[in-house]
Amino acid sequence: MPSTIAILGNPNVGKTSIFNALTGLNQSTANYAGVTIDRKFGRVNCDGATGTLVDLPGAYSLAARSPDELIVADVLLGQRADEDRIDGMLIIVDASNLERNLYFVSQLLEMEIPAVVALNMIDVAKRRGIKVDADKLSEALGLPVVPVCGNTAKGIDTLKLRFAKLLRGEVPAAEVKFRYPGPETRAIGELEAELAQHRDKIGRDVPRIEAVRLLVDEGGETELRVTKLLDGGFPTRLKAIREHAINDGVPAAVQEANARYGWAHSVIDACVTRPPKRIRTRSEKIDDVVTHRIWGTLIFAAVMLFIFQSIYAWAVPAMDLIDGVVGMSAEWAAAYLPEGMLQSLVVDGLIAGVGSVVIFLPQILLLSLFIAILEDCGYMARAAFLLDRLLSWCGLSGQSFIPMLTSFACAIPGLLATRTIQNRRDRLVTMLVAPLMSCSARLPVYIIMIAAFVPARPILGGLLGTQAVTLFCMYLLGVVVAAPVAWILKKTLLRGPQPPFLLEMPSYKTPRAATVFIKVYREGREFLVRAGTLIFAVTIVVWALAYFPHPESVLEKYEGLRTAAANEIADTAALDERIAEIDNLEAGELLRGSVLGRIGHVVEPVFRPLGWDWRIATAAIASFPAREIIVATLGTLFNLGADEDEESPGLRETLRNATWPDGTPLFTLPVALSIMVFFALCAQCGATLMVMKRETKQWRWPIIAFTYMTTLAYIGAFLAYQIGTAVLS
Amino acid sequence: MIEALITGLVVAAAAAYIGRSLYRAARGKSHGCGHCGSDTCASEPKR
Repeated sequence: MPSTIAILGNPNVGKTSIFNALTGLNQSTANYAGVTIDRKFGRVNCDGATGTLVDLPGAYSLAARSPDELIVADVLLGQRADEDRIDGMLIIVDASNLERNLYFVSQLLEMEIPAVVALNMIDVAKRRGIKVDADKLSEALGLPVVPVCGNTAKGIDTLKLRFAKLLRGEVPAAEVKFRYPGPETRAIGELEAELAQHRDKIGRDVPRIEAVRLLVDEGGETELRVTKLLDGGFPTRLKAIREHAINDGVPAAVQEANARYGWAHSVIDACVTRPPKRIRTRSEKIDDVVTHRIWGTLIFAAVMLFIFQSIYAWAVPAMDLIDGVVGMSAEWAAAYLPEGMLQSLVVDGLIAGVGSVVIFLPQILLLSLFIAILEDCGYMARAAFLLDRLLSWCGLSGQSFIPMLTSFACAIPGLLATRTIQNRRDRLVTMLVAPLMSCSARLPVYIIMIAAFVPARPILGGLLGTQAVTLFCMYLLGVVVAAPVAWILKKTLLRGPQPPFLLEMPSYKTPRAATVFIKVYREGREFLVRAGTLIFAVTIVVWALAYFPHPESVLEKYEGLRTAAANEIADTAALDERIAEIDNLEAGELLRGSVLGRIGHVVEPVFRPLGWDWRIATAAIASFPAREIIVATLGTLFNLGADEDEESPGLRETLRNATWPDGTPLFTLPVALSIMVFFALCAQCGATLMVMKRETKQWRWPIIAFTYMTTLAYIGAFLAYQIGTAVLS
Repeated sequence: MIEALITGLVVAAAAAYIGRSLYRAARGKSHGCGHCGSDTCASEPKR
């Protein structure tokens, strides 16, 4: 009885939507190709039958050309030792584009295992005037066919019943429905016999479909693997068999394509009715404007500016609310905890540190809301098309756009998304530049610096503001720097030809509220979890390093000064002022004498050319595991060094009031720009570097990424500070 | 005394957590999600 069923189909045909509908899970979906780049598993229980459903990346063929397609071929051909063999297939086809889908289906039929076909996107086909007769299609394929609409869940109940039959083993195995030309068929037989002789060396029976791939895909993955296992004479014999397959000068690969497409056309002739005149769809009409060279680019810029302006304008009330709660918590803790190290840990460490990060939750949610809407409506593929020109200038193609775009949320899924890139060199270049895109962890750094040090002035009659434009520029900086870096890599380390770019434009659709909500929820949850775990822990350690040794001699010295002031000054207001001054001096001396203060003073000279003091330098160094840590660290360091009796003024005000020992302001606009540029370009994310190592299977690439990004960050921050200071003075 | 003990325990626990995270990252164990590399991601495949 089948227990492990794989979902298969071309990219962006709605496999994950149907996976979610059958399993009740909430895997990520979006309206463009290449969202699923690895296997996803889910338990299913349909009509009393249970089993495991495996969601696989989309593929156009079993002749794998990219790492994600290789996963599909491996799982289907049982090449993954750690996984169960696939017992059945749920094949998803796009009703509006059946011809291309049937090419892959023809290969899947050769697996000769039970299968059910879901005819998805019947709504899109209907809008294009295409009618698919599901019964005739079922007859032609020899498999049950269920029309469904994954978005609206129409037909899902019927699909579940069919799927239950598949789980119970009541669905017949798929059969090959077309014939290869005679010479190719004979060559396949010859190769099967050859492989059977080597069963012991290969360690298993080689199925017919694998023999077909071996014959047809010259230099392909199957050939590489089999050749590695067999003796040195095998390549010569394989070459000879390939010669036998040539029919009238037509090689096996072309014969295969002709045979499959010939069969697909015959199926379409039997079961698809098209309108006499092609109907121009709504999506095509919208694309006339949205993908236009000038209008499209202007729309793209307007969409991006609108997003950044909204992040500023709409998040303020929620941020104020969180700020109020954080401030109240600090006051409450200060009032109820006895003065001492525990109070300092809670107020200066935890609340000032973690609170400074949590305050950015509304902006993170807004940014992920906009990205989720754009992804789900189908605009992202258009943006990739528009940016192909920019990317082709630096030797990449629009293929790299989706990974780079994904990196705006987080570089890790961006690196994983490069699995859709076929050429290894282009994949490596994309992986090396993707971390330059401003991820959501950089947002708090930008927001705090811009809000505190970039004056808010209206632009375009108040439609935009200087702060939103600065934020937009910071996001743009990553893209602008990535282009020459990719160009240099393509001309040196990873030299190679310009890759072709083929992108399927999905139809526009209204974003699904549930899909958008889940994405925003996940992003928010992830942010809070990080704030509550790693950032929380780092904050405590930073506090401890900045608090201890806290010598009694210093405390006694300042206590003596306070007593003397109380004896000498009669006027209450003047006394309060003097006490506050003594408190500040005491906090400053304790911080400078702390472990972190001593380390900070050692490293300070390295960062002085960037306009930073030891506190900023220490916070930046502490942020190498994860960049959001800087906000928490600045919160703790500047709170510890501030007047403890003062009401909590929020990190923004604290930074504005921070000074050098001579009393001049520490943070100026050039310093803020220098910090933002450093964070925009630096590789401050341990997880990203580890994933890069895992994906490339070499330490070399994360080391190169870390070195070039950190160097660029230092040079960029230096230039920002020096030029900014020269201009403003 | 109790205050110092509590503070010491909290700091030690935080340092241990960071050490564990770094160790897991170095072993490549904290990136099993396949979606975003996180330990805690909601889209973590569940078998």
